Amino acid sequence: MVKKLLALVVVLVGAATAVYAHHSFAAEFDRQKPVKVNGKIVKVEWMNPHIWIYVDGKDEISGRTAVWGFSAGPPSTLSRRGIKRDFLKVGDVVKVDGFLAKDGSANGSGGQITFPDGRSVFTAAAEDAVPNTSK
Amino acid sequence: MKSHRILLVSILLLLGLVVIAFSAQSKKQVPRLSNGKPDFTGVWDHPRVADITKDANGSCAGETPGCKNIGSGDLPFTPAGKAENDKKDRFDYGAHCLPWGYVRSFATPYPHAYVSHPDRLAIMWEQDNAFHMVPTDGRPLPKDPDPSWRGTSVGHWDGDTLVIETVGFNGKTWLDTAEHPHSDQLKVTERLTRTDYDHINYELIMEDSKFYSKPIKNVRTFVLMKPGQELYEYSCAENNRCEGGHCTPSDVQK
Repeated sequence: MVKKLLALVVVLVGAATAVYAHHSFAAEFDRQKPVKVNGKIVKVEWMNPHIWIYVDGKDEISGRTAVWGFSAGPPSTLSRRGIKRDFLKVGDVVKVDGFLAKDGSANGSGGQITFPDGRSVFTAAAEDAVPNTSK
Repeated sequence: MKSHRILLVSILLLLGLVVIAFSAQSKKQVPRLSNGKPDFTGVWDHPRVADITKDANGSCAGETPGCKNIGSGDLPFTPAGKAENDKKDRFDYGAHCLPWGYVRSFATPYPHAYVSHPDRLAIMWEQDNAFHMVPTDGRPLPKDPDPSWRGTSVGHWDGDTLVIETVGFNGKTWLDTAEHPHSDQLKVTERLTRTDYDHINYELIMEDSKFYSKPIKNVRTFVLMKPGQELYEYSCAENNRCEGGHCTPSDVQK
């Protein structure tokens, strides 16, 4: 299962190179401001046009602590990728790699979610900016 | 020794027959309507075309393999078209959940469906859960249709190819997510050919003498989605939290 998901991630990350999306990624998020938030999921909104995941934690880059909101892909795209609505649960410990909202609020585009056991999924819309997850 | 050889040849022959039988079964015929014309009914995956000038090859919007776009290359802007294209910070109508427009709806990150009838073709897009009707009963294009986001269409048959002509656009949409503009003079001609059970060859011709000096063409391949794959609900305004770059907080963030 882990291998399958990792393979999926590789394929999807490879496919996701453009920066255009429904909500125009560039209008809402700043690709020059990556965030790496470690924390616990406190809420999941499995809704259109993009699901939102809220993580209570700390951004490794800025040191800022908040309840972070991350916009991800729409339910249809994620479901077709095999990421169903029970995949991300309240209480899960995760690391989210993404990009900060342009208005500077504790929100971002959530590109990649990694679990403590190493599972990692690409959760952004197909054409959102892809985070650089290398250490 | 001889009997072994006979046995081996027999097994190979049998295997060959099985292979032929299977491939014959997978080559399903293109279904036909009661008037004998091809039936396009089904859920179709299209290539995601964020920029009509560029080629796309590989995964479809809904991640079915085999989609394709042959892009237009450089666009033949008129001075008015170039001036519109060069404008900065144009209103991103899609980000505000307004309709994507006709041309862009066939290039979204989500599939679409057709339901064919001898007198009409119904188009259903997952994007915005929008629909569009194309009468194919021989009526002509209306002379002066009310301007609209997705225009007014009629279709006719050229042999087994369905030709759809669409006019009457409000000029508020773009040809693609790369923000290539069009005016209210846009005329769209689509030529749909179901080349086999699983594929539609889709030719898209965009003519807009106000903004472009020559017709613009894309040629795409649509792929029939697997049985059981359906369109999902899509409600754009439901949770659009970062509209225009300003995010509204959730209750857990307050």
